[in-house]
Amino acid sequence: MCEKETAIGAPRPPRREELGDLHRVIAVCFGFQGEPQPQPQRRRARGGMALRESRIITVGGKPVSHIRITYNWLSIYGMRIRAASLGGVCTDPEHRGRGIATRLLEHCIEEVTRAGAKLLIISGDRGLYLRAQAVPGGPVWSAVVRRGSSPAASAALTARAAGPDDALTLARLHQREPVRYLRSADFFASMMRNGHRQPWVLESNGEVVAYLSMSRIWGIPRTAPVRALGEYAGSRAALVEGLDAVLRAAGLEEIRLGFPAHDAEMTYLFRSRGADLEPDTIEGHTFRLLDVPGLLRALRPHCAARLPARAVRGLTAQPSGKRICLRLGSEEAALGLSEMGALVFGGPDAPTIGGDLGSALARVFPVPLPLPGFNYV
Amino acid sequence: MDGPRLTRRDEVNELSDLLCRVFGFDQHYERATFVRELLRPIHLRGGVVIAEDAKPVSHIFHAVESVSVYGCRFKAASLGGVCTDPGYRNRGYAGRILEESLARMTAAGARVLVVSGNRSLYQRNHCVPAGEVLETRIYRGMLPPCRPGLTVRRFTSEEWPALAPLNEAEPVRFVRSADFFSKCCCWWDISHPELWLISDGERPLAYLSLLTPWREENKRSRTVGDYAGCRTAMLDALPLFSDADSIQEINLRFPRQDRELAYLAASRGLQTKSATLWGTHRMLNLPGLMRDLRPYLSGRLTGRDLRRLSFDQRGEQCTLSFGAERLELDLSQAAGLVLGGPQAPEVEGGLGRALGAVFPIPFPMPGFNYV
Repeated sequence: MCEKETAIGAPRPPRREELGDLHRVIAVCFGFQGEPQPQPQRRRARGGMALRESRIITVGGKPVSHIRITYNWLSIYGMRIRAASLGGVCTDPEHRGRGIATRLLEHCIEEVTRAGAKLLIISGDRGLYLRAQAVPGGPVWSAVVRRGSSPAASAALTARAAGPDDALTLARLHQREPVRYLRSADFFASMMRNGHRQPWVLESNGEVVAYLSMSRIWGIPRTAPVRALGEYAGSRAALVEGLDAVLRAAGLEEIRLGFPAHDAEMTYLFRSRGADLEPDTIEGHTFRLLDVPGLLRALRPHCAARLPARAVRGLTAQPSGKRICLRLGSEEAALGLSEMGALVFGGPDAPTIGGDLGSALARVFPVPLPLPGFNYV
Repeated sequence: MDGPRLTRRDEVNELSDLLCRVFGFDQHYERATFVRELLRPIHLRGGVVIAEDAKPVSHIFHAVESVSVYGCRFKAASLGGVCTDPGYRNRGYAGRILEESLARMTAAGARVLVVSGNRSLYQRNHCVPAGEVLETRIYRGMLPPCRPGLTVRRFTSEEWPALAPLNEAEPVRFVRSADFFSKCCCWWDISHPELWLISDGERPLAYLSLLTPWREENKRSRTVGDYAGCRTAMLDALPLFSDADSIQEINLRFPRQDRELAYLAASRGLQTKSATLWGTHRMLNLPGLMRDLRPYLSGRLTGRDLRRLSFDQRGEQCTLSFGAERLELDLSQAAGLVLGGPQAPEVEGGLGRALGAVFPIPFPMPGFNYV
């Protein structure tokens, strides 16, 4: 093989003429071969999206490794936080084991940090991400609800598949969520027009009171009557009472839930029904800090709601070599980026910190995170 | 006549005399405590008076605070404590102080004004009933017994830092810091509300304040003043309050945007009726409010409709436009339209459709931010 055929290119966006090869790599890696081809309009939209959002590494001039980057604003109790999401991470099986994905991931992390993102949401939880100091996070309660296992909802509560006319209703329900991705009405209109997501709505006396989406579970055949909860919004009481109606309407036997632990209403409702809730983190995702001082600045109103004014002024986080130095008064703690991530995002390996600094951090963290849902990359 | 101007620190004793004479505050507060609390920065920043013979004879208090609506923050002013010494009435003092207060709160960036009152002085100044509320009366024995494991206990304002996260998680709220109660206007507890914490073991789930009637005879009724947290737990726990204090009746008022509570009330067979928020409301700066609410608007209107919609205000006249369509409103109509209320005009066409998608905007009940 000549040198030109094995030369590894620098990370960059794909060119239009490379899209065909890129889609083939993605299809091979994610097992999409044989799946129905999208409509031409959707294919064109995907192509445009790939040119803007994809980053690739080529070998011998052909794309072999891919990562997709999107930027979002999170609204967390009214604070707006710039986040980047990475997904579609894949490398052609014939080119694995050469550090290509690691190099591409490092490039993407640098790029999104330069673009001002404070945190990174990665759709994946494998060693590649953990080595890049991403951590599992976003505490959730997980549970399994089977059809017929809960009392039937009152006749006034009905479930149906949402249609394009429901787009603005979904947008309004979602807007009321205290922890969410910021989305425009156009986001929902476009999503419902494309029809590649299928939310379900719950109606009470003719009024839509809640919606939820469900997604297939990796490793379980698409045809199996089992789904995972994608996202939800609206009345929790209606959602809990109406889950069985949704399962019946969708022809499913089981839904696997992982709802944010900060959702006190949902937690209370399931607990009071005797549900077996297991602590977990957001399924299939890891989270990485990008700019800790910047994140702390963005979280200032959150700190002000939870700490005395003196502690808000005194709490600082500064990078110190490869560690983050947290200070409050004369107390300080130096944490690695993974440890700090576990603290901020509520990962299982969050360090225990004593003193006033520790109790201040325990009041502020973990920061609640939304389920990726329709913003899944 | 000296003023209108801000209250001076050395006048607070005389101001306290005036407030006690007009409102009977001395029946509710120990005098020394009342005077000390009137010295809080918030009271000195917002107390506007007219003085005669070096004594305040007319007074209005206002506070400018932040409101968070679905993640959008804007400033809202609250106004209360409006009083004039009986010997100095009918001289237009209150009107002059109100004018000065409106100018000050507008200059401080307030977009909307909440007035704790409904008299003609306010109505002449475009303060109107607004804000959509649902109301239901719950009588002892109406709700099923409380779920086992749920506990209620009284709490004090010193415990607020532990409960502030419940308020923070509310999608529509007054923004309150962990040290809110040491800085806020001191009149929130004028009727000595009972503060109740609802917990599941050690876990705080919700809080609520129950207001006792100020002048009513029925001392066994309570009105929910402020609440946050898990709605289901709150309704589940209501029978415990009745048991604890022999309360016969709880008047539950909640903003219409609280769909969880509305759903729960309906599913428990509680009949609700529509009402407006307490007091009256006035629009101060409509274009500013709409700028602050831009993310809210973009969550409800398509980009195309949003670009066609604009808001203008010249003095007391507001203009709302949608493409070539125009609507002129005075401030009373604007408050009714934006916050929802009887003054809201019927609007047709594309403008009506766009406005119907965004108004009324949700607004919090004053609760602990009562002025």
